[in-house]
This record gives sequence, C-alpha cells and structure tokens, in this order.
Amino acid sequence: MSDTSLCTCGHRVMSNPYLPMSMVIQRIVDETDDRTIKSFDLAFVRQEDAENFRFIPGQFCELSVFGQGEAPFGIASSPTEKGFLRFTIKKAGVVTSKLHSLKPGDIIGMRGPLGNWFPLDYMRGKDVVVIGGGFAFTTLRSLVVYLLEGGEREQYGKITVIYGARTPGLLMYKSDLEAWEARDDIEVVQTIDVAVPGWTRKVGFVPNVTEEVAPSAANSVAIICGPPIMIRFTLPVMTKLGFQKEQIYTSLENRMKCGIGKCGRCNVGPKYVCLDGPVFSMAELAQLPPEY
Amino acid sequence: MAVFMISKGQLGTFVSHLMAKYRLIAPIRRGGELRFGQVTSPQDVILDYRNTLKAPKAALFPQVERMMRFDQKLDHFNAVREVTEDRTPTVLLGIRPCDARGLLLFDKVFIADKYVDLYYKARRDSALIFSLACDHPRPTCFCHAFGSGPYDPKGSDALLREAGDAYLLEALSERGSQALAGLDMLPADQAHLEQAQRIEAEAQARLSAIESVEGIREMLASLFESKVWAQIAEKCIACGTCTFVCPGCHCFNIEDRSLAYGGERVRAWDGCMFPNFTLHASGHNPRPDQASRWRQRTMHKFAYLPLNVGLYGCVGCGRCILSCPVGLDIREVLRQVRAAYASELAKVQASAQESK
Repeated sequence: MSDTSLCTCGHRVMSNPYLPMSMVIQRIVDETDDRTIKSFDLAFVRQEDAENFRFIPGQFCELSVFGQGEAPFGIASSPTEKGFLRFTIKKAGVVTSKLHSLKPGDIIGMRGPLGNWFPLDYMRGKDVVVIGGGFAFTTLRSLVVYLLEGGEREQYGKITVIYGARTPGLLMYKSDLEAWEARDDIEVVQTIDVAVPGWTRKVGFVPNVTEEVAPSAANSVAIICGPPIMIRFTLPVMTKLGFQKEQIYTSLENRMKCGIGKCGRCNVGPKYVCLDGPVFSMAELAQLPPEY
Repeated sequence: MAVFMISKGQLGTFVSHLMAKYRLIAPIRRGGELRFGQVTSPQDVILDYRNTLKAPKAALFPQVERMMRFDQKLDHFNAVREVTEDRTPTVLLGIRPCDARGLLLFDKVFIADKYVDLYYKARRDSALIFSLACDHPRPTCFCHAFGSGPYDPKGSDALLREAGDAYLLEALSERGSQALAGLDMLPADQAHLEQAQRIEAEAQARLSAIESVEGIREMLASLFESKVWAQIAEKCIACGTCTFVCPGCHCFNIEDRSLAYGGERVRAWDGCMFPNFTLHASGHNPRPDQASRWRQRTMHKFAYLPLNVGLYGCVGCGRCILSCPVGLDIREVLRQVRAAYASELAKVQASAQESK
C-alpha cells in the first residue's frame, strides 16, 4: 500500500491495494451544531506511509473501522497542511456511526489516495469560482486551502467562494471561512436559507446568491459540489452567466467498496467514479447517463 | 505443439499423475450436483458431462474469501495482518472453452490494470487450465455468437478432446507444454487424430443458429433511456442467480466480520441484480428499479466491458438461461435490444422524412 501514491502517474501498483495503512486519530471536531458532522484529523502510524503519501485536492481515501467495514471519504485537508489528514464525516451508516463513537488515540485504517483530482493544470491562469452547499464542502476546503497556501497563489486569478447551508450552525469550517474573509486575495460569500437574528451575511439559496454575485465566466473555472438539488438549480444560473460545460466541474459520489475499479458498483455508464472520477466536468457528464 | 493421447482406460492414471504434482480441480459430483471441486480420488473426475450448474470461477475467485485479519486489543481493532496469498500449483481440468474465456475477462479486470488484485493473481499465476472441448453443445449454448466455439483454444494451457476410446491432449501455451512434458504420455496416432477431427466437425454441426453479437454495443449506446429495460425486467425477481452462475460476473462486496478475538475482512460475490448493490447511505439509489439493474447487466456485459477492456462480459455458456427461475433468456434480451434499436431508428427516420 505504501507506494499507491505513485499510482497518480499511472504505473502498476504491485503492493496489495486492499490493505489499509494504520492511522491514529489525533483530533475530532464537531463541525455543525446538530452534531452529525465531525472532522477527524488523522496521523500516520508508520513513518514510511507518511513519507510515501502524496495527494492532490479532490482525491479520496477508504477509511476502515476494523470489524465494522470501510467507506470512501474525500480528503478535506490540503497537501500544504502537514502532519495530519482531515476527513469530515457525516453520521449516516454503519461505518460512519462507529467512526463517530471513536476517540483521539484510536486506530483506524486508511487506503489511498484514490481517484482523480480537481483540474489544477486547467485552472492555472484562470479565475476560480468555488460553489458549495452544506456537507459537500470537504474536498472544496482542500482545494481552497491549496490555492491559497500552495505557494502559487499568483498563478490563479480571482478566487470566489460561495458557500451555503440551511442555517449558520450547519456551515462547516467556520474558522477557515473567517480567516479567508479577512484576506484580500479571496472573496468569500456565505449564505443561509432563511434569515436568523445575528446573521449579517447573505440570505438565500446558493443558486440565487450565485446569480446575485454573478462571477464572470470569462477565463474562469467553476467547481460546484453540493446536494443534487443545489447543483440542478445552480447549473442553469451558470449557463446564464456564460459558463460553458467545459468550464464547470463537480465531484460525484456513488456507493463504493473496492475504490479501485474492480467491484463493479460505482459506475456511471462506462466510467467508474472511483477510477475515472470522482471529479468530472459537466462536458464529461453530458456524455454519461444520469446514474448517480 | 505435440498432441498426446490418453486411453480412456488409463484416465485414472493420468489424473493420479496430475494429483501428485498439483491441486487438481475438476468436475466431480458432490451432494448430487455436478460441480468443480478439488479432486481427492482419481475416479471421482467426471469428464463425460455437458456443463456444470455454476461456472468454475470459484477456483480462482472464491465465493467468499478472507482478505485480511485484524488483531483485537482492548476495545478496538487494529494492526492489520495480511493473509498469505494462495500459490498452490493447481490444474483446472475439464473446464469448457467458454469458461476458459471467462477467465481471460477476469485477467483484464483483476490483473491488467493500474491496480493488481493480488488474491486473484496469485491463484491465476499458479493455475494451469486444461480445458475439455465441448462435443455436445446444449440448445442454450451460444459461444459462437461471440466468434468462439466448442473447440476454442483461447485461454487454455492445454485442450483435451474426445477421440473415441481415448482423449487427445494438446498443449496450447508454453506453460502447458512444460507441464505435459513431465507427464509421460504417448503421442497421438493418426487414427485417433482423424477420429477427433470427425467428432469436432459433428460438434460444430450441433450448434444452434444464433445471431452474432456484432453491433449490439453500438445499438446499446442509444438505448439508455429505452422502455425496453422495463419490459425485460418485468418478470425478474432480483434473485441474482444469473450473476452467481455466470463465468463473466465478477462484482463483489467487501465486508468485515467481528470474531471473538479479532476480526476479518472478507469479500464475497455480489451482483447488480440486488437493490442494495448501489444503495447510498442517504437512501438515494442511482439504480432504483429492476429495469435500471437489467440495463446495467446488459450494458456492462455488452457495451462497457468491450469498451473498457476489449472483451464481452458474456461468453455464451447459457447457464443463466438454464438457472433463471422465471425463464429470462439473455439471448431473448439481445433480440429485444435489437428490436428496440430498430424501432428507435424507424422513428428517427420517420421524423426525418416528415421534416423534409
């Protein structure tokens, strides 16, 4: 497993790709006030695993709670954040419920990084619009931190982040959002569905707020992750703003087991979300059936 | 390569020689069912048979397989311990050429890829495939729709064929040749070679008429939204039998089991016919009905796999046709696909005419 990271350059991985590395939970943070979403910061148990692990924002890992099972999660930390890997996990099924019961110091398994990544090469030299909704901001956080801290901020144009949730308490990564708001090289727009006392930022659904913010489509790339309903209503807004299908990317989720294109369940038409994705452009998705 | 001869009276001796060197997996009768299993006594091998209920894939891809173990310390599991790969030298004797071709597909999925499945690869590298040509193709057999046939040598290290009072055995690969050289057999004589040829010609003549699968892939490309899937799936009861007996189906599930002192991770055959196969934790299911699952089964075998790995996911063994409790017939499914395509095409042409 230790040299899986090299798979990003397409060479054959001859170590056992199903074998997880041992990770120790360093820190657990409640991200939302309904306490259904927690961030887990993990550290490698073996130094060798830590040295060999290389990833790019947008990739995911399979996390194991031994004896309970395995499930895929996007990496929420950035490669620029050293010493830990962050996964933000909503309590939903068997594995995630068990994960939520764990404590710092507990050992879990991890294999990866898996899948493709956000199109950084394509994004260089362009404005970047990041649009997220609710819980689906995990790999977007990885991306934004990387764009800001990767030592090549000047290679990207204007960075705009539009992030919405139903209530203020459901917006994740609050300290990051505050830190980004304080910077002058990124525009952060936070929105909630319905006004509440004390909320001074935007109120409204992400599609409407996107229309209001009206990021320019000229020489621009948009990355949109969120619940299907948000994406469905945001896409027409993007089209109206002049974005072409080739300029819009998203990250898909499907039920997965192996994460390496063998177990046969996460495919969308002939493409595997685990291997060919999870990141797809809208132009690519237009060629695929709506099987996600 | 050299062709050897085994008189039928000496089959037991041949089998004993194989058993001395290899774990031998061949058709045997167990619990009333003719199936592929490990041979413990030479006379148990049955070569006079049509085909088994289940494909021999379990020999290289077990139905349930332990992938790793966990140690248990205090109240949480940790320390993954890898399971030793199975490298026991093995001969798969008497599998049909269709099943041998099924393994070529497995090779593409499990080995010829960026990620190598070492559990499968270890068994595959340690196995020799001695196929048995098929002299009595059943009415449900349609290997010839794929350009194959009952004597297809593809995927076999050696091919065994009927020659009256003897079997002829011909090596088809370097590894097969080396294995046979060590077995002390007589070369085939002219009379038996000629008889084998006559028998092969008779077998070919017994194949039922079937349309080639050529063109199906292209037709499927425009049928994702077709109503044909609902028609096909109407009587399906989602039992998944078709996937379990199939020599091409390779989808699996991975699950953990807690044991008294530790745990294990196992993989087990799974199938696209089951609603849970694609069910998200949120309750959303991208394949919400049996129609979408039949579409997946058909598309995967006849469109996606040819596109992605260059081989069909079906070899025409006919097992799913014989085993389906409600009589669904994959050949009929392909006919319905052709008919649906023809009707779509007619509609397109008619509307083109109108707009002129």
